[in-house]
Amino acid sequence: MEIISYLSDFLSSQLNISPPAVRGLLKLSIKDELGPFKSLDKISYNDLKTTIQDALKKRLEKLEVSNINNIIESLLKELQEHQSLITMGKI
Amino acid sequence: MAILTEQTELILYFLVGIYIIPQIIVGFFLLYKFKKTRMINLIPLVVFFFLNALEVFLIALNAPFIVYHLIVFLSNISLIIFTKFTFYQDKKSAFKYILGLAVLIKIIDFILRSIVPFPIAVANGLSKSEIPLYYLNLILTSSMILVSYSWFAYSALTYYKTIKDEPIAPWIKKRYLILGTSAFFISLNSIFYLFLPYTPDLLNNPQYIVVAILISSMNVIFSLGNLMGWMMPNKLKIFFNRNFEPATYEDLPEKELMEKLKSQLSEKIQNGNN
Repeated sequence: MEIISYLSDFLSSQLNISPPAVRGLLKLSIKDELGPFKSLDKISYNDLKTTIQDALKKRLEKLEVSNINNIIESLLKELQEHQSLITMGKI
Repeated sequence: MAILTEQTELILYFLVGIYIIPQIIVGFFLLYKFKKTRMINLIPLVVFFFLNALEVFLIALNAPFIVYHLIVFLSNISLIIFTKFTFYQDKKSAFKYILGLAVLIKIIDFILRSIVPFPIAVANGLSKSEIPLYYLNLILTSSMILVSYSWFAYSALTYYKTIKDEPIAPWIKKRYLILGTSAFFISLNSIFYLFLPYTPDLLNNPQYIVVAILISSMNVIFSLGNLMGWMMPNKLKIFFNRNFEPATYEDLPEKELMEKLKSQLSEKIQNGNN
């Protein structure tokens, strides 16, 4: 899913760790937030927003990442800017 | 001259056919995609395509003008809503102004058309006092096209410019470009409409024929652009992506992935300290 890889690339540049690992982290956070049965194809803008605000934030806290609030805020801003990728990349 | 009129009519019917058939197909395709993905923002787009096609049937069936204009209005509003919920959720946008303007335009249009039933008035020949009202009507029709289609065109093309050099699958970038450009072309109709003449025997008026063919051509470009943009064949997607390396995912079990991330983060801290 294009939006997930785009946001992961952004997060990976913020955390300075490999993009595939961050993509895995984001997928894991989606699973935490929306459960294991929600397919990536059915994820909406609001699903991603709450995932970033809740599950991803918790995961980053577990990883003891510094400056979490700033990272979450910039990630939400990126999601806002690139939200149309959810529709355009899925059809 | 009669043969020319018949040919012109045939050309116009042909263009109308190419305009509505792809929109019906895209409407059904997006309905199927909505069922699969449950993306709510696709509903107004599905409605937009179906209503757009319905407009043509209503003309052919000689439906009451209120029904026809209500359908045109709803289709324009649907496109505005789709643009809002696809590009501007939680984001500052001109949505409220555009929606308000569209409603205002339609209200004035309804009032104006109740005063002068333009198709009948044009067929019988407009009186001197009706001519300014005729042009006001054309301006209102043009404004409605401009308000709805050009906002979508602007949103898609501006976003395309933003991501042009980003590592995003090229076929998706092309989708923005195709959809945005086709909406830009149909927005040009807002200019062409202003040149529609008001003489009674329209099909024998060269100005009408030229303007009608220009309008129909823009409609066809829009329709085919949407067919191509939304239902892009896989072969074309592969062609656009030929030099693109798709993203890979680290599909490790949760514990291993978290360990890996921890070690990468501590490596980063160590490197930073050194």
